[in-house]
Amino acid sequence: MKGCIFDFKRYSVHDGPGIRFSVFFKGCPLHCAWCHNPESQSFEPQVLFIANKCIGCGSCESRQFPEKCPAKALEKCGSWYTVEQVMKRIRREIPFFERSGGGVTFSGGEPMAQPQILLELLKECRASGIHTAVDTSLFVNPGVLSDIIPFTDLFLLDLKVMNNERHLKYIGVENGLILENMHTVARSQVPFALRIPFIGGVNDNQQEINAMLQLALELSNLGNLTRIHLLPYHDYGRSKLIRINPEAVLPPDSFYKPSDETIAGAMSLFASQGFTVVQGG
Amino acid sequence: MPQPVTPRIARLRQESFDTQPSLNIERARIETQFYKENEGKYSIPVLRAMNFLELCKKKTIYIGPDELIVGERGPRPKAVSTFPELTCHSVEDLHVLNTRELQRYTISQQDIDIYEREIIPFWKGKTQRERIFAQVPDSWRLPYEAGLFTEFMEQRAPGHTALDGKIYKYGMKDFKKMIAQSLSKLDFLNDPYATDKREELTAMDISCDAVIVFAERHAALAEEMASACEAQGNAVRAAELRDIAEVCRRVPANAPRTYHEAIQMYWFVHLGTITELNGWDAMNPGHFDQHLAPFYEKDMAAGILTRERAKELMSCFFIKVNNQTAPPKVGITAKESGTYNDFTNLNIGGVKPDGSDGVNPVSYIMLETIEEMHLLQPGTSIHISAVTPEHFLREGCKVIRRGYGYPSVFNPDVYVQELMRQGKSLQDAREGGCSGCIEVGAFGKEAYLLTGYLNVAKIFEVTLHNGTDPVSGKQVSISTGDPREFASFEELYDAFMKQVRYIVNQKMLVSNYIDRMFAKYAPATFLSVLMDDCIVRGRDYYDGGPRYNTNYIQCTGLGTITDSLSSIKKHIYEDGTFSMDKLLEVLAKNFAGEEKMRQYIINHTPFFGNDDEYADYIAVRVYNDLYDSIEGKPNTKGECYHLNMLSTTCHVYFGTVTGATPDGRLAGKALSDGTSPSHGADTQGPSAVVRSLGKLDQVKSGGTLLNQRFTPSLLKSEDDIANLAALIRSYFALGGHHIQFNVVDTKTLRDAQKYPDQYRDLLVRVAGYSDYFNHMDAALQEDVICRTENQSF
Repeated sequence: MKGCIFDFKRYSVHDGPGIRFSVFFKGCPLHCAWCHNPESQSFEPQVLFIANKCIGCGSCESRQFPEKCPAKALEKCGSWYTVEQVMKRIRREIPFFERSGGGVTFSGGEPMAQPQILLELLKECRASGIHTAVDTSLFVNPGVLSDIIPFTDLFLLDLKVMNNERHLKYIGVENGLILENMHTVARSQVPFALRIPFIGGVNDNQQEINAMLQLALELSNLGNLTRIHLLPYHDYGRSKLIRINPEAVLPPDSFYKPSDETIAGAMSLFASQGFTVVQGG
Repeated sequence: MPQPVTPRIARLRQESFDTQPSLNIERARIETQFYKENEGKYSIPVLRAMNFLELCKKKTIYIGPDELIVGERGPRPKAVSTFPELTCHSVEDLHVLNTRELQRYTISQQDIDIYEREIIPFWKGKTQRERIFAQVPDSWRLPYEAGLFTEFMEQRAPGHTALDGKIYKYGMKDFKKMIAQSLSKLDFLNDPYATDKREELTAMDISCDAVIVFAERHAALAEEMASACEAQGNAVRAAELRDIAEVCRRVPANAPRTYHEAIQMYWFVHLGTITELNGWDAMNPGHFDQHLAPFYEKDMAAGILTRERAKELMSCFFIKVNNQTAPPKVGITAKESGTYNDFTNLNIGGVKPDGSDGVNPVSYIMLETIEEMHLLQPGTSIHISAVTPEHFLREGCKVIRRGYGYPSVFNPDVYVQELMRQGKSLQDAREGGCSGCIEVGAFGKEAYLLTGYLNVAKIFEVTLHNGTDPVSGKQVSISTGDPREFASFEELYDAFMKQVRYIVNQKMLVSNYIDRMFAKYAPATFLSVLMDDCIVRGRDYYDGGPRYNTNYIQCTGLGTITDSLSSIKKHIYEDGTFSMDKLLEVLAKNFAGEEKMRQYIINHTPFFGNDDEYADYIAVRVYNDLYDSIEGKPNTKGECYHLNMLSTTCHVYFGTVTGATPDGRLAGKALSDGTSPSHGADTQGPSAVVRSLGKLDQVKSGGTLLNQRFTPSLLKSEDDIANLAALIRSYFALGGHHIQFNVVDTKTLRDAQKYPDQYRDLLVRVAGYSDYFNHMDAALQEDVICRTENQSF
């Protein structure tokens, strides 16, 4: 059994408590228009081209032989790993987990889109006493989710758009399944955090914010909501699009970072209801 | 930013910050006059002690407005003494110092003329430096001139050290009694050295008198100033001056009774040691917080001290240290170690001699003082043992977050093992710590001399050229074969280690010679009073008097050499990507026209600092072999040399004399610093770096150095602080000796290069110390900027 993984990040400190090791699964069933990791969307390994590293030596013969690139301007994104290969990397970080209260965060892409290997990794970590977090959009089959829940110590749940029409428009699917799964996670009593990508022009209006607050209150009544993270939009993802397809012509950016006042307003609203709310992370 | 504790401190701090260092010829004039009249009349130790007494009797005494802790080495703050008996500046040196852009020391034309007329002619041919260079063999001179190593002791006296707690229990009068007792026990019938011991002990006795006189002159001046203040109706300052006078009459003649007296006691002792000689790593109170804690607690209980007053006095002490600018070198190369910093490193926290937690209320006062003073000196370090409270570590991390480069972080649990491995008793090891940059020793009981840096990367370059320096074309070392004819990596590695052993031996034979020159011609008779067991043994600090006597050689460029060997092993001997012939050709032309090959090396070679077994195995092997080449070689005191892994700023100088290296580094660029990975080679984040470093058995060294650079964005929240603390604890659990952080982003540093005036107080971590970014030359600035920046994980 192998999983397609496109990155490992050590000393990852903004994806759950303590010093973490993040494992990024490749492939996502969603296609958020503002995605900051567009290279994580496809389920297959890809080759990225990082133009500013290219020294124009021609070794790759028009990008046919990426492994020959001396400057690593052509970069393999995504490889197939076994459970043991991933665990070997995870175990190197145990000294840091132990002293920081950290652990592993499975992220993506969508980790639950490769449920078998995710489940095996979670079980291995549980057996080794390693704390686990799963960073997910929750656009998954409820059966998969119920398999994963018992072996997960923390969920990081994306809360994107409450209005179903706009959800469909920007993300390509309706949000009913996601909301239902959120309730399942809450009811399971496994701790979870909500991570809101805060996108100007999409979900920074008062209506959206109020709806998100209502949902948060509902979920926290049901279960163990630890924190709310507000992640203001940035456009780093756009530059990465060029890496996937150097010929791509980017449409003008229709999203923006909400104003400082809007961010502060949303944060204080959540805080006023007793939530621990942080910007970033 | 936190403000100084009182308006007085704000004024004194600003004055210290703004004062331009100057050279002062008073010490040289008094000393030269004294030598003219007295040289030859006394034994050398007695002559040196009488010279010290003369300086204490005649030098200008300074008590500044508002000061509470008093005393300066020169006649005023940042007026730097010269030491012509060691190295005599030429007229040209003085002109350069007066006019150079960086690390300028002003001096008037009138003083330069006096120097030319009175000082220079007298010392011509008699300085330590001239004596040394008159004797060195070519087998030393050739590799020295090629930059294969440096020699510390040709510029300044061998490293001074740090003190234990004895000066808080005994005054100079007590030491005089101990000296008298030792004198009374001399056995002239059976001990062939009895006469030498008598001279040394007599000299120590005179040295005690010297600092007493020095303090009494301060008392007299304070009283005089108090009367003047009263006459002007300033009763408040008059009362302060009367207090100062009382303190100066009490210490250092007697043991201190109060917190104020304890700080002043140390300060007079400090000034004494840096007045008699010009030792590297100036002088250091050691575990100052632990020494002061009993006084603090007693005075607080008695109601004669408040926390605010305690911090004010501590701030006064910091400012005093900042006023003592390092004496400049001769032969003016700012390259080897260009800084005003004189490396006084206050140890905060750590363990007590019984192994229990040493953190106390004074530790926190010191942490706050670092933040509020934000000055170049003193250097500070926090010492984090497994028994150290988490709260103290996190408070320390919050000071680190300020980005001054202070404090650095040390691991007593490892360095106590290092010191015990070298033969110290458990208690002496626990009383030890770090002085200067990262080197450790048994405080108050050890002479641990840094003898100079070894350019390991350059030795490898010479190996690749069969003993010849490709820069000069001269044969500077032994022939170990043409590498093009080596059939395996092992053959190459063997040749490299033969070169290392040969060069280490060349360096040692001259260091040993210099050791004896200092023992003979420049004994440190006052420092000897302070260092167990000089009085009991009747021997000088430089002559085997201390309980422990260590020589260190500091090896530079572990990252560069590891990455170079990794590149050769993989690409030449395993993959056959290119040949040795091709590599040598490309290195000779500094990769010109070969960017493709250089990029291939940089991007397709396992490098040190990524928790990569291939590279880390090579690093461990080189480290262990450097250890074997140095460890246990006898020094002149019946003890031995040990390995140290410090580079200070020497990796920049060494880089300038080293051609392109097989890791893709271009000619002239800095080598890797300390035991840090090469710049930009570590791409897996700080946990991977510390795991790589943790593979070195650091207990075998007398110190390693790890630089890490964080952007401020990574240290914003309480969680971030907790994670930084956990990173430190993890590294220390993996066996790390030391770690330090620069918390500043590249944009700020680039900005500071463009607009230096707006960044006058931008302190950054350089090596075992911090420096003002705008005091550093362009190469060193670039070096700091190029350290891998850890951000946004």
